[in-house]
Amino acid sequence: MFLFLFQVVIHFALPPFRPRNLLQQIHFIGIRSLFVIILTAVFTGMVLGLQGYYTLSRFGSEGLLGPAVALSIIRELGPVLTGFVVTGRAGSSLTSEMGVLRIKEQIDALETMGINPLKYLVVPRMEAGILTLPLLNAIFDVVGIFGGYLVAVQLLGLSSGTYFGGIEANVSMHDISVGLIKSFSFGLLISWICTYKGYVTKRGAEGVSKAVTSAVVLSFVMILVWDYFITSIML
Amino acid sequence: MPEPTEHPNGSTTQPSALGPIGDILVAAGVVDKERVHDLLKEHGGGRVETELVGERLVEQGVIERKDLLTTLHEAFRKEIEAYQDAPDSTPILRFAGIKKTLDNRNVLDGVDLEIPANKITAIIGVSGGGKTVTLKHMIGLMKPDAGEVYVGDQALGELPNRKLNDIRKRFSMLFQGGALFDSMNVFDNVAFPLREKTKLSEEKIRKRVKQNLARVNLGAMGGKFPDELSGGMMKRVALARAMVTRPEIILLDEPTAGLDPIIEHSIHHLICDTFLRSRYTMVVISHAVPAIFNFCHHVVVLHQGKVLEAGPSLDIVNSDNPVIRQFINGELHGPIKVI
Ligand SMILES: Nc1ncnc2c1ncn2[C@@H]1O[C@H](COP(=O)(O)OP(=O)(O)OP(=O)(O)O)[C@@H](O)[C@H]1O
Ligand SMILES: [Mg+2]
Repeated sequence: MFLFLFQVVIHFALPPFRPRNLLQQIHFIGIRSLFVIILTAVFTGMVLGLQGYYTLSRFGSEGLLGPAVALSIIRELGPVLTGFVVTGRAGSSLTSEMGVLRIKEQIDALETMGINPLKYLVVPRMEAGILTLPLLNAIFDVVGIFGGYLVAVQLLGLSSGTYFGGIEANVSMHDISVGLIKSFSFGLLISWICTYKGYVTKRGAEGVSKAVTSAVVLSFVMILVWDYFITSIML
Repeated sequence: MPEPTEHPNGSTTQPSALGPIGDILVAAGVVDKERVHDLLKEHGGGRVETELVGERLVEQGVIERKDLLTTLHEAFRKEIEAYQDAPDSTPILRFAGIKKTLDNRNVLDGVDLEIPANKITAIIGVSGGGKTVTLKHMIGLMKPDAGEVYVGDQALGELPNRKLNDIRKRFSMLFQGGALFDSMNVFDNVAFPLREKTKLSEEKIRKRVKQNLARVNLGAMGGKFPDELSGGMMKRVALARAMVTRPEIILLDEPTAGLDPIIEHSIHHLICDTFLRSRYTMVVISHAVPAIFNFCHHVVVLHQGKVLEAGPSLDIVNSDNPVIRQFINGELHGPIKVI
């Protein structure tokens, strides 16, 4: 599995480059996940707003609701939930797509044509994963904070100046870069695990469905493990 | 003028001005030399045009398609008879003691074989006997556990990936399952190896793909996707894709399995026809026994992980080896235990 990653990374830098393939893949991952990302983000923001308000109002510090929502989303929930959604929506189909290519001998066919399947199939998918996740994560963050605003300001009557002012004063560049680094690395993790599991599929249609399950489960677990790791070194 | 074709053994032969098919037709007295000359002048010559002489003559009503087919078949018949008398072709592919174990089964158990250059070789044997595995070794898709595969003088074993890819460019392969790319339509599937491996202009690629699809009688199917095709169509698209790059060596894994007898026959013709035009080395795995014996020079019989017999097809068809006899006649009783 590490050898696979190593070979793919080498091919990142080698010609021929196929920008069209890359764009297709970004489109694929982005479009597949966008709607669910927005939905998840709105509700995450709203529930954080609700929960946060009642918790903070016990200590009389409702004013801090804005930064509380924003920081949880930007540092933790944004990258992790984006990772989950992308795994479910795009990662699983990445695995099954690669798996079908493998069992129907289409990967072998590429090889017989003297075309490196890692370069042709895996590299654009991996690059797309790494590039798309931060973008989706940014969308998640914005929509999530807006969701919090809906609850806090429209529903619970907090002033919008307090909400956004608090965010502006308390969220630093460091917080944003933590979120960004997380989403970058989740992008790599998901596309690596999902393409690899598909690439080594064996034994027909059943093999493909097994590969998809194990890719999704492994991605979820690895996202959480890696999240803890990054958080602990970047606090 | 057609360019000289370079043979793998290094010698070059100057092709005749009439092209291979033109030569055959003239020699058989079906059409006279002047007519072919005129035709070629009209169309400007070039390798492709000389190869298409037969089609053009049929189009113009000079000869009947039936005559074209029988003449070509007759010419091929003479070829294999000549090969039986003097089987002296240099091998282009060679297996030396290939062993391969898959799932604890010795699928190949010391296979030694030679594929003669510029001939059609058929590989036959019982289902599950390792024919596909053998073919995959030829192009380096599978690596032997022991032994060595040679392409020309080059051993595939220690070759780095880039060099292996260079060798693979001399091959093309038709997979048993077709292995068409699901995400592309028929036209793009056939165009794919040209787009990826050659620097031909898009216009030339289109022309060539159209020609190749027309030859397998699927000229109108370019826009369909693989999942919209019947099994036979899929095989024919895969065949067109295998031939479109004009490779030196073509590996065909059961090009006729699961097809109706007429299409099976037409594919056999197509293979011979392609051979007569271009003299590619071809390796065909086939269950179409005994028909296949009329469409190949050389036969390799695989049995229990070894080569049981190999030689000119006309010798094998008359072999008195009990296994081969049983296989050819499809008998239930004999050395091969069926049930
Ligand atoms: N990738 C693989 N992994 C494990 N076993 C394999 C693999 N490929 C083939 N085999 C086994 O090798 C044996 C030979 O298979 P192969 O596909 O070469 O048969 P074949 O002669 O082509 O048969 P058929 O005429 O039915 O296509 C079979 O027993 C098969 O189970
Ligand atoms: Mg087979």
